[in-house]
Amino acid sequence: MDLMRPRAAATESDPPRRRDGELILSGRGDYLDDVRIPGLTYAAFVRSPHPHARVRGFRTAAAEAHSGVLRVLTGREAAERIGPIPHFFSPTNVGGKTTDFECLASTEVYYVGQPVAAVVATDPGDAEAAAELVEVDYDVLPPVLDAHQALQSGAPQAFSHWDDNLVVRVAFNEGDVAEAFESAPHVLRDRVKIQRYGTSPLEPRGYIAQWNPDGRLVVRASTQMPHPLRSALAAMFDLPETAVRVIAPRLGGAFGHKFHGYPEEGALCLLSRLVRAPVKWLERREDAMLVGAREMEHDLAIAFDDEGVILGLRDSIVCDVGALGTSAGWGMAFVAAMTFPGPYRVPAYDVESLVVVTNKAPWNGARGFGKESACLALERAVDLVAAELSLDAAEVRRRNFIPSTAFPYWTASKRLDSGDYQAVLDKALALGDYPELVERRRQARAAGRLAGVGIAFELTPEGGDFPGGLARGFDTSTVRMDPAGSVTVLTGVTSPGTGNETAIGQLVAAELGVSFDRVRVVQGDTDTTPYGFGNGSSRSLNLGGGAAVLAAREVRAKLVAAAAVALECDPGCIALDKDTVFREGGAQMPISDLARFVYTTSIAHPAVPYQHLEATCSYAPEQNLLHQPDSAGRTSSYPTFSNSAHVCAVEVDEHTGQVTLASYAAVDDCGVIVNPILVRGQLLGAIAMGIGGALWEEARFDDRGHPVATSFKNYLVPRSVDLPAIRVGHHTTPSPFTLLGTKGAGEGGVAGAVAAVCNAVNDAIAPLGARVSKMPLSAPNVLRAIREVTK
Amino acid sequence: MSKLDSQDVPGRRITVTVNGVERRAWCADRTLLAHFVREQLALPGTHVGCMNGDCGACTVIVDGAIVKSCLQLAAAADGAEITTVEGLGEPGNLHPVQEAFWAEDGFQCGFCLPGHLLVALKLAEQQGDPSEEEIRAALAGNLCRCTGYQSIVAAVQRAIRQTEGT
Amino acid sequence: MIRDRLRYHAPADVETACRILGDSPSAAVIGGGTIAVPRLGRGELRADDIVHLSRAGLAEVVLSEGELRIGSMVTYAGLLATPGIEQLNPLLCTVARGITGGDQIRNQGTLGGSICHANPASDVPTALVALRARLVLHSIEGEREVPAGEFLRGGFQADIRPGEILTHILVRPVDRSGYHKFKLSESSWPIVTAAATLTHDRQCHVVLGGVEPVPVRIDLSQIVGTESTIRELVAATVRPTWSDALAPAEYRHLISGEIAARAVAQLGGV
Ligand SMILES: Cc1cc2nc3c(=O)[nH]c(=O)nc-3n(C[C@H](O)[C@H](O)[C@H](O)COP(=O)(O)OP(=O)(O)OC[C@H]3O[C@@H](n4cnc5c(N)ncnc54)[C@H](O)[C@@H]3O)c2cc1C
Ligand code: FES
Ligand code: FES
Repeated sequence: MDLMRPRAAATESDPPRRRDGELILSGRGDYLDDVRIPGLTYAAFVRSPHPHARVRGFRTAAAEAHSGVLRVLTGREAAERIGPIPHFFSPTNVGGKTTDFECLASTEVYYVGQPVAAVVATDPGDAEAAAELVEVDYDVLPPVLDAHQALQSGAPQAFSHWDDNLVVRVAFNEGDVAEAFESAPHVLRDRVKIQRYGTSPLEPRGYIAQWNPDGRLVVRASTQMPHPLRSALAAMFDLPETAVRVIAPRLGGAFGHKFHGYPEEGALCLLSRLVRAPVKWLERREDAMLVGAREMEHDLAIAFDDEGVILGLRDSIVCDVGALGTSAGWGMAFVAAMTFPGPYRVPAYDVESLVVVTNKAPWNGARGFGKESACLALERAVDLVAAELSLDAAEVRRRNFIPSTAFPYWTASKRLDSGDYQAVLDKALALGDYPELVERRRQARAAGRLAGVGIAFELTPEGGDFPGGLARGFDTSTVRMDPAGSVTVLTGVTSPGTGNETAIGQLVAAELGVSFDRVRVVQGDTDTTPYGFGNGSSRSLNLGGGAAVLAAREVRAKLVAAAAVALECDPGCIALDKDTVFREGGAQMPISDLARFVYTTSIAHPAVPYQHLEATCSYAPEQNLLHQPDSAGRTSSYPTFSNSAHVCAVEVDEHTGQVTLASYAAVDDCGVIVNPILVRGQLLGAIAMGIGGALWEEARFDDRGHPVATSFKNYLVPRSVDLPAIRVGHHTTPSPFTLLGTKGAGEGGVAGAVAAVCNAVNDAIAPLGARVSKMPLSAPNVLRAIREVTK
Repeated sequence: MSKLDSQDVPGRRITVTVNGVERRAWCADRTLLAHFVREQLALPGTHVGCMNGDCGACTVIVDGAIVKSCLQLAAAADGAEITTVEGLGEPGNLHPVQEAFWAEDGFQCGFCLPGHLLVALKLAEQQGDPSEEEIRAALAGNLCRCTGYQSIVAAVQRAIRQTEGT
Repeated sequence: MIRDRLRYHAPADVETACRILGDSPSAAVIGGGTIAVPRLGRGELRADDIVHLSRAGLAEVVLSEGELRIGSMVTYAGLLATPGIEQLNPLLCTVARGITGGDQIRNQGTLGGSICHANPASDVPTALVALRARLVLHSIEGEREVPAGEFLRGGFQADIRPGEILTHILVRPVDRSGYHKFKLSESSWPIVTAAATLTHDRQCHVVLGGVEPVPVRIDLSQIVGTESTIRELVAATVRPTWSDALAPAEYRHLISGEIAARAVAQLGGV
């Protein structure tokens, strides 16, 4: 198929600003907490104080007697009434194992904070007060809190009915690794540990569950995936999906945190059924901080020649996914391994990822989704090579990049679509004033300060397709023009605040030749939008936007056919632009008149098509997805790969270990850019998140398995003064495999920032002979590394 | 320990002037100002992101001073003059500060906006010429997880320019 | 959400406030509320009655006979707005300006609330101990004055007796002062704080916070001048006995000498 580029692309001089700006800016955003429903009641959860225990029984009388309390529900009772939570994507799909997870634990708790009972009251304060009064008897079991320990024989079992703590081992390899390492002139090893941390969207999760008199369940949920959540709830309650409606209002950020699969989701629906009233629950910040991600340790070895050309790579990644749960989080372990060997041409590599359960709260998706972990390990390895051979770090990357002429380029687990990595890096070096940074580093060092420059290159697989679960690489959109010529787009992708609704509207407007303001985009309601897989994996514009463009093109074809009748000419002479229908060199009519003409004269006028001005299309970049291994045993679950290069400079305070970020620049290639404002915003936000994770954010547990990070005072996210002005730029190589040539923006930037900052800090402390590869690079961690060599 | 009696929750009627309009409404003594504004006064533009004073999404102006409304009991606001984000401007008639945020893409999900807008308003009212560093410092009580702050800083700079002389 | 069905009181004077405190089986005082209100929300602080001092006439800074009398409801912003305060007490001004959380917290939080909360990592305890401030405590039984150094009894433990309210903080000027705090990032609570003072009678001290459960005073008079000796002296004097979620005790101890030296350096040549 000859690919048609979108009619709307970045070349447009004046991209539209964010949709609904006026509402959001004036406090009329209608987020979940803003929804007003009469007769609301409020839930609070009773949570396990133990990392691992058997649940013996419940005493609820005191809670029931508390004023305002309508119902107390224990795990025991819940287990009799609803089924286990379906997996977002079960490890069994990749040959692993799992177990049943309940909304409220009835027999065994696996982590501190796990819900075991719930209370509904007429006032949220009373609900919390009563929840404290529910007494739960536990038999405490030994917990396992560390993945390495969990892998040892004789370790406590996170789930007492399992024989070990390993969920699955995934591995990707190519070439003769043993031979590569044996014959290589140089081999280096490192252990790189990325800490547990999440995403902390500013708006925590929330739900309002309600059963209508007709028996339908209506759930308002701050979720990125309304349809898959509907499927999960229908399964838990044994209802047809038609009996469940999920509505996702505007989200106050998500970043993976609002993927479905949480125990509260089903529990609230059950509570609402029991009290026969709408039940609301808002996640508290401390609950939000329970959700883990990313905790991985790489045992890495790299083989290379005298020129710094990589000959072989080995990595064994141990992933501490907590108590697994039903969310998508553990999948990051898979993606981390799959992302290897990144942007580099590595003839032989062997990468395995061990998914290990422990008694900590489960993971959920987190922007970066394992790619940041892979990037950190790879970029550390490349810097080690550069340091060992005293080569420039950028030069070593150039020597190893997959050349721009080699695309599409196969690895064991993906076919890279397109790119010009060297051009992207060179642009970033220019944007970041690399020579100047190097010179300033020289001066700072001469003055006795610890200054460092860091480079990183990030490869970001986007738009993943995972058969076997409801996390797919296609999506569906409907485009509809009404008799007045206004356009409604209904799409299965959702927006967590990133702005894809703006870009989708823009694409459809351009296809139909109507003004942006004429197009309304509806998302997040399972009763009105096509079944879709929501938001994640930077998929929304690629897939939802792609589907909307296909649907718009169908509508356009109908409009053109009708216009040819109305304006008495050949369809080839019709142009649609600026809300107007033009006949080449002559007559014209407003698009609204044409729409009306179609609705009012079809059939009566035989040549006018009488179908609706409506079309629904699905779209997947299927040309670059391969789930049955080819003759070389290769598969591909991601269709497109954005990439970015990052350059930053830091100073490290030798006395305290404090890192100060002095400058930051990045250039990305996310393919065709539909709206540069939105893409820029995504990249800046992703970099800020990456920096936060590199330097401060950490969801630590104490040695008894209790979370230490419970508020923004001890889980440190970046503030305005922590970040330098960040310079960003773009380089575009369209993806040949996506309809729009887009690759996806959103996740890209997190990984590169983590790695660039880590490389810069290591560069800064290198003159002392110190090295730090345990993240985050908080002052205490950096000072420890310094003192290990200077003490 | 909390009391288990079933008597009504202690509360009172308070009078506040919100966005220029005098309002009288009941609040429980335990109600936070943030929730009072959102629920009783039906002004949900003030957001609650942490209930711990950290995120700034609940920022309002009380008697001329910006405060975090999750840190204050509503009862304490009796008699006060309050400005919320709704008091800035409305669709079709945005305040220059709001326009500046839109023009500079100073938000994504918008959850942090109420705080950032009111801090920007305060800065703009001061009629000074703050440096980028000073603007960043002024924003330090407010978190944003989406933008990385850069576009917010630009929005504040534009807001200050646009309100100059007004 | 606050779970207790508490009653709110905003008494018009200190006497009434103390009476309510005395009468209630479980009452809590709140000043600016920046710590107390979230603690109520999490159920860490329980109360049937809330005594809010906002209307009790304690929000003034008065200068009398060379001594600053700071009402316990004076906020950081309120302190900074006091005419002439920069000259009268630059150390407290540095502290107030450096309080994080934005103008919002500086408008809401009080010096009194901070010293009563007695968080070892906070700024105010270190500064008040360094300034040898005295605290005026009032109850129905009367009034007493306690030096800040004695008022702080341990981490999160202040010498406030049941029924007592802190009404004023009394501070006398010092000749010169310096203040340095170290935190991990803008969001971070201070890790180590150091306040250095040079009094009119040439006494030179540095007080360190965040290293032990209470601020530690170190007399530098004999060794003034050489930074390295300050570092050594501090390292040898303070014990690593305080840690929190942000940093372990060893780390605080490791950097304490450096932080002290930075505060002392601000004194200029002494
Ligand atoms: C976002 C944020 C950032 C902050 N940044 C800093 C910082 O950088 N450095 C720092 O040191 N602190 C910081 N704080 C804490 C700040 O110091 C305190 O919040 C504030 O000063 C406490 O004063 P308050 O009046 O609000 O105390 P409250 O919350 O009102 O009270 C605190 C405690 O003291 C008791 N109390 C208060 N007043 C009296 C009184 N007069 N008599 C008897 N008991 C009383 C209360 O019962 C309560 O237990 C921050 C807080 C927040 C929320
Ligand atoms: S909700 Fe008030 S500061 Fe976050
Ligand atoms: S725009 Fe989402 S938190 Fe600021």
